Amino acid sequence: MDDLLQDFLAETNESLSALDVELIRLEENPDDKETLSGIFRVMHTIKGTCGFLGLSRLEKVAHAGENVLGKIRDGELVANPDIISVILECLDRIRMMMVAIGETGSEPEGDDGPLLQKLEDAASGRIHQSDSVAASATGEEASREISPQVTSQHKVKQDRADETPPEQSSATAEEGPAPAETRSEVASENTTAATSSRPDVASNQTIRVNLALLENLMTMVSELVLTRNQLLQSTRDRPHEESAVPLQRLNQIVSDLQEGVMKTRMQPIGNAWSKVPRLIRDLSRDLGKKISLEMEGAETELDRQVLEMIKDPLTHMIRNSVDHGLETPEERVAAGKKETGTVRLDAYHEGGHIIINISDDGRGVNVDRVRQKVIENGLATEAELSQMTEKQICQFIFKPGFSTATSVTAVSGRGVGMDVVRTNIEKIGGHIELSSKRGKGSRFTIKIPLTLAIVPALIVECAGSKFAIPQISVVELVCVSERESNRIEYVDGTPVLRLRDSLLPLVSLRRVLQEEKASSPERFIVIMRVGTYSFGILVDEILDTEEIVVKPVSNLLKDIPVFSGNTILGDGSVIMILDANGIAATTSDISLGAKQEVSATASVETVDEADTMLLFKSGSDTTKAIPLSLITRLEEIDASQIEYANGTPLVQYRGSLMPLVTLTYDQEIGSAKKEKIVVFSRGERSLGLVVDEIVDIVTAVVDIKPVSSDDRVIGTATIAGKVTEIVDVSFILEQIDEDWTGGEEGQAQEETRHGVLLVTPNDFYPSLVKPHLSAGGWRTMRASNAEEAVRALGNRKNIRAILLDLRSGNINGRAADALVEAARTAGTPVIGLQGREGERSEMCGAFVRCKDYRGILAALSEAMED
Amino acid sequence: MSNQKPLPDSVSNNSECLSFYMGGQMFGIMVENIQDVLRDYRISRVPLARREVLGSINLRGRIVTAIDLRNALELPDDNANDDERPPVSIVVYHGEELYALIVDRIGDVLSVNTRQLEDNPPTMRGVSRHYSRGVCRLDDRLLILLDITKLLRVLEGERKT
Repeated sequence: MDDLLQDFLAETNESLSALDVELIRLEENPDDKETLSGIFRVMHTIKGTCGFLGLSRLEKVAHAGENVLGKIRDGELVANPDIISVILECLDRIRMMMVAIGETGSEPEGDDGPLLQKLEDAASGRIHQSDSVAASATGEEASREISPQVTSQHKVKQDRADETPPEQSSATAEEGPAPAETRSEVASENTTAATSSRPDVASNQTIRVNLALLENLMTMVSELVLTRNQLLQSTRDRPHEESAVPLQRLNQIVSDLQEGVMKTRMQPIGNAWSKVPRLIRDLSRDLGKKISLEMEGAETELDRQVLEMIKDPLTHMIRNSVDHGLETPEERVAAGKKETGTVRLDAYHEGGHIIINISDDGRGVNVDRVRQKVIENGLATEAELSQMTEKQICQFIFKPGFSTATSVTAVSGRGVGMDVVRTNIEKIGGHIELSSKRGKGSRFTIKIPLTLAIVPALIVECAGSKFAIPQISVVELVCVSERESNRIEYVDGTPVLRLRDSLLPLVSLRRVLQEEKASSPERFIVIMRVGTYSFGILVDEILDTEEIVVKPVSNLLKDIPVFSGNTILGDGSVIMILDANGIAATTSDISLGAKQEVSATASVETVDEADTMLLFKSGSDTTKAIPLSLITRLEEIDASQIEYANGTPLVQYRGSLMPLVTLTYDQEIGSAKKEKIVVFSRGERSLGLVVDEIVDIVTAVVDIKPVSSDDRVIGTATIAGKVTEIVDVSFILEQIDEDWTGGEEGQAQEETRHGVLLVTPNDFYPSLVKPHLSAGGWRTMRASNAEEAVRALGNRKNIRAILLDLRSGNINGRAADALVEAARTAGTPVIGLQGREGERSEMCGAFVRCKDYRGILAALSEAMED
Repeated sequence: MSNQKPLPDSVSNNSECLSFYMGGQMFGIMVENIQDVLRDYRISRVPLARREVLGSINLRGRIVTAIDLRNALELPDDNANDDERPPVSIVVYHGEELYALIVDRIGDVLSVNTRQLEDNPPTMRGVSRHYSRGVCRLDDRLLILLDITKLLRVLEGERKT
């Protein structure tokens, strides 16, 4: 029997045994929604799984049962005792079949017609409490019909230990009018035979260990680690004691032991994926879709406990991708895609997390339908939806009772599933997200912790007490000072920090914990990130980092949202673990989810508008700026290292000589002890720009006002609140060429180089892209609008390509038409430069992101080949 | 638990209880609930916790929540300082969890039987009457036998409301 089937039997038996109790509870409280949906989910899972296993008889029965439960859930039926008994009967039948499957590996033959009819009657409301005569008759009939199987079940359990001759096992547990006693014996013999004759599949290299034992071992090792830490702490002050050496050994052994025990819990995620190929195959057959499966990262390991928890969600998501996401071959062909759709699984480690992606190249989520469904189901109003991004709307599919499938299929479409998936993922501290592109496909991304047992944490102090902050949410630490950059400022009494180009909200831990008695100012800021929301926590002291074992807090403390657990430190003290989510939620009044989404999209939109600049001072007091993308390194060299050749200052740098230049001619090199140098490179050659002071690196939207007086400056812009001169880097880079290739040769090169026409109204962008183009062997010409571009095309013959900056959006109209026409007659390809994805123009043959310089070069050479 | 002074042999329904003092009043807890008695311990305070919770104690690697029994029973603070010794902690089981009850002074393990147990006097007013299993007549004084399970359940329950 294959593993899949065995797992199915084991899991289903487990949930079935719980189901009887649940059903009785439901009978007593017909309004208990929670119990009802629990029952519904179990039935749904049985139905779904046996569909894939090809157990059609079982599937039919389960489907019929699910229909009845669905009606109860939707309030169309009341769970009266008669209906419950029909469902119980259905469960009994399922159990009977499970026993048979366990013995023979396939479904028993038999007729479920009467039972299915009964279930259908129940679903359509034809069984009423008032029909007591009929009902009791059915009930009786049911019990008569069912009793043999029930008995056989009991007998199986009792007789399992009995040795029975294996030759009798050939008998199958067929359904038929056999007397109860005989049937049960046959069944029991079969089971025994099956158990005893099961080959010893597990090889000699592995043994099975009771999980509880393993868990217990893990707990004890955790305690051992803590005890070791205490011992180490107490001997740290007395290093020469004779116990020091054995203690060191103990330390080592405990570390190895911890690692070893952790390893016993680690399993490759491939174990959870092993069922997927079969699942895909069956799904593809059932749904008539052509699907290819790609898997990557199957060897990625994670904690067994976590692995178990994601198995089911994974199956659900794959099923979802195939059923809802992928189109039929005909639809795919019609949409201009390959006939075969692809489902892709990949997994990798990132920090202390494992990331699992489940993606497909199907039709993507139909946001309009989701929106419509959300309104229909009353999950949100139209007004609320209009405020949301598409991505936010997509996340509604994780809400309970949500399904966009228009028809209820055997595969999916009842609106359980995705909410179960989310619940399971979140139960283990994970996070799930759906991203989707219409017509291109969708992707589920799951982020879950590798292990739930031990986490690295930062130990901080506040008002005399210690607290632990899990490092997973810590981004960086900042020491508060009176200096401009690290000063706490106040906005209407609320502390904030200017961190590079953003205002970071600050939260005083003292205030959060209501410990405001202490008077000395808080000295450190721990910058945390929750989703995409960043904030700083003000603490008195940062003490240490330590591996901690997270222990749940006592029931009496569970209601304090800012703590996620507690732990015992190496010195034996008990400290609370701060919960970044909880602190964010209690200190900001914006609903976190919404804010995350908004800021996420905002950052996507601005990312290409902003440039990262190096701010420095050189010669004068005015701050100067150079785009960081052009700079190779920042160095500091000793003035004594500077040598002179022909009056040119040089310095030995990475095995060759690097000339040094200054921005102003009168600036003296070597006047300071240490010189700060900005290194520019082109190929093998480098050039150092000597500056007085490196001020900062900021990301800002640069709005340049041109100045004509100085040819080394493109213009001025206000960056971080200060007027800043933007240095024309090509001036510097030209010096590299001049100094190293000589004027004549350079001139010749200039003639042979292909020309590219850059059309952009932005004054700053050319200075960013030009050096890259020129390094790629292109000569850049610039036009600030379409008219200029047309003129340039007419005048210069050697323009081989046009780069059209789409960000401004003002390149259209008649002039643009003229440009397109001119480009077409000249046979010049037009490449569009996008500020963000999705910016399109009819005029362009290809698109590249405007800051993807390599991409631009690649697109240019591609255009040349065509 | 020095100078153990068992009661004279009781006829039936004997069970043992640990006596302790809060203010001037003697209380008792059934020993089956008790895991440990600590004299030397360190409480780490937990900010934002309800007033009955003093903090957490590390009991050989287990984290135990310390409860100020005086506060939980709303007893007056008057006699707090007539004893030089530091408060004692009685660690009790409650479901899966351990709680440390901080009391003024520990007494003896006593054998009590149901015959000695009487209902609370109807005129009893203190909060402790809600958690009393009855009043025990000892030779020289009266002992309130506390129902710790009920007390902790109420504390946990209050959390939910």
